[in-house]
This record gives sequence, structure tokens and C-alpha cells, in this order.
Amino acid sequence: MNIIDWLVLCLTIAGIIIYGIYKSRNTKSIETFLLADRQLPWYHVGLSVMATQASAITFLSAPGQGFSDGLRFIQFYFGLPLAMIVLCVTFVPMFSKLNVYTAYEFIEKRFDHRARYLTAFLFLLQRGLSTGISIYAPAIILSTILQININYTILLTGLLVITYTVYGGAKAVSYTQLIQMMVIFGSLFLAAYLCIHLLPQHVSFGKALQVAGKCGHMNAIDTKLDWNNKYNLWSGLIGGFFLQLSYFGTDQSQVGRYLTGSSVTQSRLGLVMNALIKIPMQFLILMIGVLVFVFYQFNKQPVFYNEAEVKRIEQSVYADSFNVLSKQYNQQLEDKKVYINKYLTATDNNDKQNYQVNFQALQQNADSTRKQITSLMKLNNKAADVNDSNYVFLYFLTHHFPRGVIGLLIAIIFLASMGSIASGLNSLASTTVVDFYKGAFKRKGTQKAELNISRWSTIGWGLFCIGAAFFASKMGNLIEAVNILGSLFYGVILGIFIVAFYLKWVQSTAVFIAALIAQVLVIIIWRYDVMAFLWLNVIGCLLVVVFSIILQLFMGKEASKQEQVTT
Amino acid sequence: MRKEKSPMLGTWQNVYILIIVVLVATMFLLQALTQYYK
Repeated sequence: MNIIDWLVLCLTIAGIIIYGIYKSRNTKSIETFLLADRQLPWYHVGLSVMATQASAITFLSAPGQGFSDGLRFIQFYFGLPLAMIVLCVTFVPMFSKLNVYTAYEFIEKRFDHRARYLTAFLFLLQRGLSTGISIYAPAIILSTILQININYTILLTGLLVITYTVYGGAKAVSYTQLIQMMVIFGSLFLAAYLCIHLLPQHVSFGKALQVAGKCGHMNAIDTKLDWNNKYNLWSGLIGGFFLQLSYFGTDQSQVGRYLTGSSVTQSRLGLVMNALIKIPMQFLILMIGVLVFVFYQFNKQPVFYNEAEVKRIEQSVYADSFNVLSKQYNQQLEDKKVYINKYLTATDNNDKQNYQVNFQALQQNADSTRKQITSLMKLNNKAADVNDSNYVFLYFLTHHFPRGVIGLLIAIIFLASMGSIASGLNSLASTTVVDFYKGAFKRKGTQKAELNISRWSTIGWGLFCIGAAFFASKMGNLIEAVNILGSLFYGVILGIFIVAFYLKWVQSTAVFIAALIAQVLVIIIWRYDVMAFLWLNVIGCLLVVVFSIILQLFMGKEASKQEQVTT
Repeated sequence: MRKEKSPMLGTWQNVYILIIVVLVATMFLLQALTQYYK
């Protein structure tokens, strides 16, 4: 990074934060702090919903995912448009009719306080940890660029977001997200263009896709139903549908965004916008990762993208073994490059086939050498982070993009991250104040007192998330880690909402016990790795629904009548 | 939320159908891409 990059980076971030703070300067009530007075138009709602979901993880891990695993992660989003339809038809009008601050208020109105506190607690646990991971991702960037300990950069990133979220609340969150998303969209197209532009002259875009395809990276759709395959059409459509429905319908960080809409229509239009734009946007991000992969088929690539880990092993007793393996790895890649070039220029189909077999075999050899290198890193340091997919795009960016653009792209990764962290903190504060402070403890104060409590709650959760970020390095690819964490709790929370909406005769005790049993079972299923994580959303939801029905039938009508009297 | 007259159900239905059509078309397109570059 040179002075121009630093200037672009600082000016972009400072400008957007100041704009958000300026627009939210009149935050004087809890309604404004938590829901921006429910006055925002659809495009605000739509962009805010998208910015909340898209964190730095999206712009760091997703290209990394495309680089190492190809396009197949796109299937994860297939359930999203369907979930948006269900939300528009059911959730949005219901929340609007009941005029709630948080989704969990609805649960108390339908069942009782126990079910409300259980869902709110599960949400707080899950969102608190996920937001911690979201803080960790941009801290990686700062740490890499500034070459300082990641713990300091976690603190810096966390405190920066806490400051403007505490000051401006939902309004600051929404106004900053509006600009953030515009900058992000522009920069993404620029990044995609530069990736293509940086390819060698004899490699056109079409040829780049050919190479990616032959290396197994154009695997956008897999129609085979395999319960242990993380991403295929079915897990994406069914598992993804349940995950997204749960995320957008019951996670306060999202519910809080579309409750800021000025009417049901505006909230719905915001969600429709998300339904139509999300998949193309993710495709573009994954494609950037695939293009980076192709770029490194023709250019020298590092043995390992996390430079801090490379430095560590180079200074250890394993340095000699590492150097030998690195040389071997580089030679294998060089040989592979020769065959790829031959493949691209060959006109005869048989020759093409032979070259393809050769470079695929060399790729396998290189992969196995790389495994030996990561094993060596683990041997040297048990805590070594051997998954470098989060660092690939950052490495590519800082080493190959022109000056100024590097600063801008790092700024968007930061902005995206700040948007989702801010939404997370705002929703954690909303749930703590509305569901626990005012709900469970029945505390009531003046507008000013409640606003102060909301602000202190935001600070408290901010510090919790910073604490969680310190442990995030142990979680491998971050975009997967966040989704696995969500899948553990979302299914059960969604199950409670589904029973609330559609099974009117099921009462609170049945759903409460069902949710507890289902949550334990989901954790056991995950712990013993019975199936890929996306299915946990389906299982959790179905278990709550089925157990609720059985328990209600078992308890009988008398119990439910008695319950109705006592609650 | 302020109460506001929402569009007729038919209009919303069309929006939902459009979303499904776009999703299905996207999946077919991606499937074609996968097969072509296999």
C-alpha cells in the first residue's frame, strides 16, 4: 500500500461514517435508535438487508471459496428468493400488524414469555458469536497490511464500529449501508474487469473459463443428491431455503432492517430487490475467485497465501524442509503451466485430451505437496492457521492491482464488514433492551433513560463480540464458519415461528419443550457429523414442528385449555 | 409501520411468479455453464 491507497482508504471510510453520523444526529428516542422511526423507502430497506448479509467475509472468503472450490458455493443461495416470497406473504404483514420492535415479541403474543426468552436467547448467543467472526475478517486485512498482531487490529475494528453504532443507532446503520452498497457494487465490477485485464494476452475470457472448467472450478450446479455433500442443488434449494427463511424471518439483525420500512409495501419491495440481486452478486464474487485461480495458473503463485504463517515456518527448525517442499511445489506448478499452455494452443482433440490428463495429474501432485507443507506448519506450531483461503484475494489484491484501486477495494471490504457488524450490534441491543430489559425485567423509564440503556447495551455487546473475534482464527474458512454457526440455531428458531404461524392449536408448553429437545438433537447431529450442515436447518425446524404436534396431542386439549387460562 | 394501501394481490402474485421464473432460468443457465465447461 502506498500513500494514494492509504488516502483513498481513509477518505472513503471516514466520509461514509461521517455521513451516517450526520444523518442520524437527531436520534432522541428508542424508536429512532432501534428502528429509524420506521420511515425508510424500499431501496434503503433492500440495500440495508443486503449490506447486513454481506460482510467482509463475503469479499474475503467468497473469492477464496471460488479460488479453492470453484463456483459450487452459488447453490447455497438458491433457497433465498423462495424464502423472500414466504417472508413477503407471511412474516412482513404479521410483524407489521402487531407493530413489534423485535421478532421475539411476536412469539410472546402467540405463546408466552418462556418461548420468547428461549428464542431471544438462542438468537443472542448465535448472533453474538457470528458478529465476533465478522469483526475478525477485516482485522485480518489490517493485520496483513500493517504487519501488526491481529489482536490489536481486532480491537481497532471493533471499537470503530461500536462508536458510530452507539451514536447513531439504526439510522446511522442504514444510511452508511446505503452508500456502502453503492461503493461495493461499483468496486466489484471494477475488480472483475481488472481480473480479466490481468490475464496473459493469449488467454481470453473464454479460454480462462475453459481452464477453470478443466480444473473443476466451473462446477456451479451439482444435481446429485448426496447428504454429505455441502453444496448441491438440493441442499441449496431445501437446506438453503430453511436457512435463509430463518435468517431473514427470525434473526433480529435482518428483521430490524425491514421493520425500518415506511410501509408493508416498502419492506416487501426491499426484500424482492434482495431476491433478484443476491444470486448475480454472489456469482460475480465467486467468479472473481475463479479468475484469480486462472490468473495464478499463468503467474507465479506463493506456496501459502498467509504470509505471517510462511514467515513463522521460515524462522523455525523446519525451514530447510519447507524450502525443499516449496521448490518441489513451484516446479510442479511450472510443469503444469507448460501443459495448460499446450492445451490452449492444441488443435487436435486427442492432443488436447492428453495435455489435460497431464496438467490434472500435476495439479494432484502439487496438491499433495501443499498438504505436506501445511502438515509441516502444524508440526511447527499446533495453533497454525493452515486454511489460507481467506487470504487469497487479499494477497492477489495487494500484489497485482494498480495503486489507488487497492485502497478502494480494501475500503469496501472494511465497509461491508462494518455494515454487518453494525446491524448485528444494533439487533443485539434491540433484543436485549426490548425482550429482556423491558420484557423480562419489566423495567420502564423515560425515553432518554431507555435510549441510554440501548447505547450501553450496544457497547456491552460490542465488547462481547470483540472477545469472540479473538477465537475466530480457529474456525477455518469464515464464510462457512458463520453459516455453520447459524445452521445450529436457526432451524429450531424457525420451527418455533412456523408453529406460531401455521399450527394455531399448539400451545406454549408443547413448543417450548419441543424446541429444547430439538436444539439438543441438532447439536448432537452436528457433533457426530451425520450430515452436511445446511440440512441442520431443515432437521431443526422439522423436529420442533413434529415434537410440538406430538407433545400437544399427548398433553391433550384439557392441558391446553388450562394453559390458556393461566397464561 | 404506517398503514398504506398495498397493491392488489394479483400484482404481488405476479412479482412472486417473476422471482420464481428468474430463479429457475438462473439455475438452467448455470447448469448449461457447468456442462459446457466440464
